[in-house]
Amino acid sequence: MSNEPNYAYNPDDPHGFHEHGEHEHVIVPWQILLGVLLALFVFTGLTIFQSQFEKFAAGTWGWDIPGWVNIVLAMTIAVIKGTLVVLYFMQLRYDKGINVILFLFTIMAVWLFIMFTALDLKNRGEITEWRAGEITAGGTGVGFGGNGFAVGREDINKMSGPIYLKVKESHKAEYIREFGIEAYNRELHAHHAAHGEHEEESNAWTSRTRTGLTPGLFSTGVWEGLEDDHHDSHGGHDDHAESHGDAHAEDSHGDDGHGDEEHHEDDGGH
Amino acid sequence: MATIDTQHSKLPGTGDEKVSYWQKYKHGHHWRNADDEFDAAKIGIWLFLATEVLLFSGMFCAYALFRLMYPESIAAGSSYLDWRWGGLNTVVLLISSFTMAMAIRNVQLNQQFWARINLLITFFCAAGFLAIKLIFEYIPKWGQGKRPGALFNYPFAETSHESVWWGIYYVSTGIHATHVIGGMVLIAWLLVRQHKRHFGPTHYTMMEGVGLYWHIVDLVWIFLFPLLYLVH
Amino acid sequence: MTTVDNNLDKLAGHGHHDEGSYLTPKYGPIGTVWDWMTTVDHKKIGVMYMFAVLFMFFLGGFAAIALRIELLEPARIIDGELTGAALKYFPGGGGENASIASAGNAYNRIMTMHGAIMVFMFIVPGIPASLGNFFLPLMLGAKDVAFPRLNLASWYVYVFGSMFGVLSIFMGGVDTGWTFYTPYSTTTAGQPQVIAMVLAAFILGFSSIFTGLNFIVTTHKLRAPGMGWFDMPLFIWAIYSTSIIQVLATPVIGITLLLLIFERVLQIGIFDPGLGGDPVLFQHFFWFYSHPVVYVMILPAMGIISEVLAVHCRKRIFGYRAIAFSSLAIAAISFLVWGHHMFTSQGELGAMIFSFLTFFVAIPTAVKVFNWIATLYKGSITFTTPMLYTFAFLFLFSIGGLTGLPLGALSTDLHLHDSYFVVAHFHYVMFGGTVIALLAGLHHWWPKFFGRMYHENGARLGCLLVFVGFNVTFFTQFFLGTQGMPRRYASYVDEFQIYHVISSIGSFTLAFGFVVHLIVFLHSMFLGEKATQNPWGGLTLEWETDTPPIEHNFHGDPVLTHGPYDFDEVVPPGWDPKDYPLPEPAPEGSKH
Repeated sequence: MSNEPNYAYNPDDPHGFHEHGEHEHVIVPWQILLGVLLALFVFTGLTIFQSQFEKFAAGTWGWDIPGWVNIVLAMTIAVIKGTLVVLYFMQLRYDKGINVILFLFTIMAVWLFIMFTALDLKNRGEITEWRAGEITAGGTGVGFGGNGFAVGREDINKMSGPIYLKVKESHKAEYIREFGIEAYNRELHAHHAAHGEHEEESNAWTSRTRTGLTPGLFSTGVWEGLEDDHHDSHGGHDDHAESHGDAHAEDSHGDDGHGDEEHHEDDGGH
Repeated sequence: MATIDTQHSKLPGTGDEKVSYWQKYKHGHHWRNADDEFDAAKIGIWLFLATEVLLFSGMFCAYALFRLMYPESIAAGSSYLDWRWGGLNTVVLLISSFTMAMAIRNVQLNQQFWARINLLITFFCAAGFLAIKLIFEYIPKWGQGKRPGALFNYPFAETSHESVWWGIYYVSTGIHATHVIGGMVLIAWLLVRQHKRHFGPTHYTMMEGVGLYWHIVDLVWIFLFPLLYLVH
Repeated sequence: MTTVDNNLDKLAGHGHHDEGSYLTPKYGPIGTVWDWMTTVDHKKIGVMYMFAVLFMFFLGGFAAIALRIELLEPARIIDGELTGAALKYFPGGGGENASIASAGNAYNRIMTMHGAIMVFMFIVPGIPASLGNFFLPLMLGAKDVAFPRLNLASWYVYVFGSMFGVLSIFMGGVDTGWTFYTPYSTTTAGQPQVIAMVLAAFILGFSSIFTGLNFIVTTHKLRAPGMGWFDMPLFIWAIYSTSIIQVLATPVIGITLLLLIFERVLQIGIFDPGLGGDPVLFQHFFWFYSHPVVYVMILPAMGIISEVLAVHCRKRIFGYRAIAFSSLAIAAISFLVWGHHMFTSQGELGAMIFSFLTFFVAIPTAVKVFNWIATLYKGSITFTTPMLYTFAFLFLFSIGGLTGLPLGALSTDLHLHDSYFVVAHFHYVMFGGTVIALLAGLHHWWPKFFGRMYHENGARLGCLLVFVGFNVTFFTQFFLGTQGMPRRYASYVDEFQIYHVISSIGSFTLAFGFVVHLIVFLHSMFLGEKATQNPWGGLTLEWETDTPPIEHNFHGDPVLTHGPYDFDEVVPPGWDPKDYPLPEPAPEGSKH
């Protein structure tokens, strides 16, 4: 060992590239890095644009862009951006094959994980159909607040039903007392406007789609519904909700308590 | 391509006492040569990144499943988020990723000054990301009662699973933010070591490793951003 | 030679100041302890892991015996008096005022303790972190693993995580079962120790990842010159496949347990149906890790069997490549079958697909078993303890594997689900597979570990007791299960008592067998005769260094002169391991 040079640094080969013939450390030109950064900016702008454009087109021109376009485009752009980062910033393009294989295996494991977990979404109800009545949209509301940091919510926990309804019930009167009914309605309307009209809820095994929203992949009637020329983002909701409901004839979905009919009235009166 | 910054690459044995660590560094005793050690470190880092990706895949899986089960709740939840803050944070993280890649390039070319500048920018971008997240997103939303699970206290909720949405939102962005904090610690450590001249053309394994980690943090955000802010 | 500051001195070692055994103390007593605590030597870390893991095994074993004592008699009230509640003095058992409920409570806690300790703290790190750590670099001809400090960190993380597990026991014990199913684990009142136990499993995951990551990189980058992938011993292939699973699956349990802790502390509502969450999602998350991890448990065991079998019948292993690739195949398929743990909770379609995929695991597993049996054919079998354990493995693991088939079939599983049949099945695989193979490996490599032989006949007696005790304990449980005895119950109907008594007696025999082994090992460590360099005549590289190995593993760089199983080329007929070293191999086989 003592015969070897003291330093790994070799003045004739300051980068140490040629010490071992087969090995090269790649230095990526800054032009490429900058170009990738700019491309990433462009794609970020693009994905925001398509998301906003959909809302704008629906609201202004009444275009009905099917919901799946949104998620497919957003994910495609995300994959392109991710690929750029992995290939150039992380330099996988110039890297050893083993690292590439490793990364691909990782992606495959993620894919398997998500896909196989999603397998049993649509057919849980087929095994336990007789239990359908036990399910409440938004959770049974049983057993929270007595445990962990959520203590002190006993007032809410005394009521029955899912948490969002409990919270609404307990807060509504309080809010109106403090700020008046006007403010409450305004706030509620602002909320409604942000994400379209209220429709029938989904439950554990049925996704009920809303036009303008990305549909659940496994929900029935989604693909047939795409040709329909209606959308709910600016107008009546009830009829369309009905027609959607009919598309799920096989679903034994009862009227799980929503308890928010009054909000429709609030809306209409506004 | 750029030239080497000769000012900082003092050659050994010329009477200069300040021979940098990276110039002296050979390799660990159980390695045959520095290349093997570097390659092994790279494989190790990529394996670590695999574990990171799979860690986040749990959150993506939870998101996907709830998205498929309760689409309108997730869409309603998404509509509470302002794409402008998310977009700004995306840009901030992309810039930081770029400067990190540039810093590694600087070190490879022994441009120590620029390496430091780039690392500093990366560090402050990370801090900026966290600041935006905290000041404009977490604090106002938490204050409005938009909280996860049993803590949910938002009286204007219209859809049944908004509390679950907030659970997914806070946990996935929270774990991501934890990784950003971890990245900041690592980058600070890089800055210290860089200041001590520990990195140079023949030895920059740590820079490379932290850089890869930082890019994966960016990568996760590239997917979180559209899923949380844009998909509706 | 110029040295580099920082910690590199420690790593560098320089290879000339000490060529003694790694066990030889270089400092005083305190210095030696400090030396061991800060060592980056994979051998010392392997030995430390071995002691830690075996300690946990005995802790979990005590819990198992406690369960069997309770089950000697069903807990019930006769004439107003509680009988059969043997565990009532354990935490939560109620003591003198015990009721049926409190007795069951204590039983549940002991049962969870047994499961969680055995799974997370014993069997997952068991073989890879102890035997793997010690022998993987030796078999590869490397001086150390790729990241020695990460290796030490892994041990400390393991100890830290185990401390949380033990802490939860001192806090009163957890009664969720080792699977922590929601919503029970997130809502059960008055049990903050659930968080400690979940945290323990979470932390232990990191140690698992560190070990796996290290082994993958070591296998890739530190093989001796001339050692191609197909010159590696099959143990390395097994450990390598194991490590892939560890790296890819463990992060998922990380996020799962993290979510579980959040659910428990903050009630974020992702898993809790009361808050609109999905408890089945937890099961998916949990089993995405916990099924592949079953192969983390069994694959290294299969690797040990491949080594021991070839060496102790001194014959080239049959179907080297088939065994090597079947390890990888098992690792790959292990990610596709997790749904068979939740046939009764998930949807129909998922259950059918998972049931279908489950049967694929049987193929590479059977490939291995057939190859082992083919190796035995016309081998010169020596009936040493490792070999006896190998026979035990082949017998027990086959039973374990075959009883998996009715559990993988949907129709029969609906009857057998969560019954003692399942308990017996996985004990046949986990104990009859992994623990038996660990014992085979321990005896096989014991001389290399400590430089001393064990008492052969004492160990054979232990082997007999373990084999008989195990079968009596668990074969009975197949009958219990098919007759409808559900698992995890402290009480049962009278008809089952005879089976439970037989099973308990078997478990006491089993425990006695382990005591015999413990005595044999202790005797060997202090009084055993000195072992030669290669007592079994093995051809893998770990036998080419001193016994016990020197600090830097090999004198000079090891050079591969023959494959790991070239007994037919290298070992002359009638050769005795006592005549080590081997005669010079044929010149054309040399790879200098």
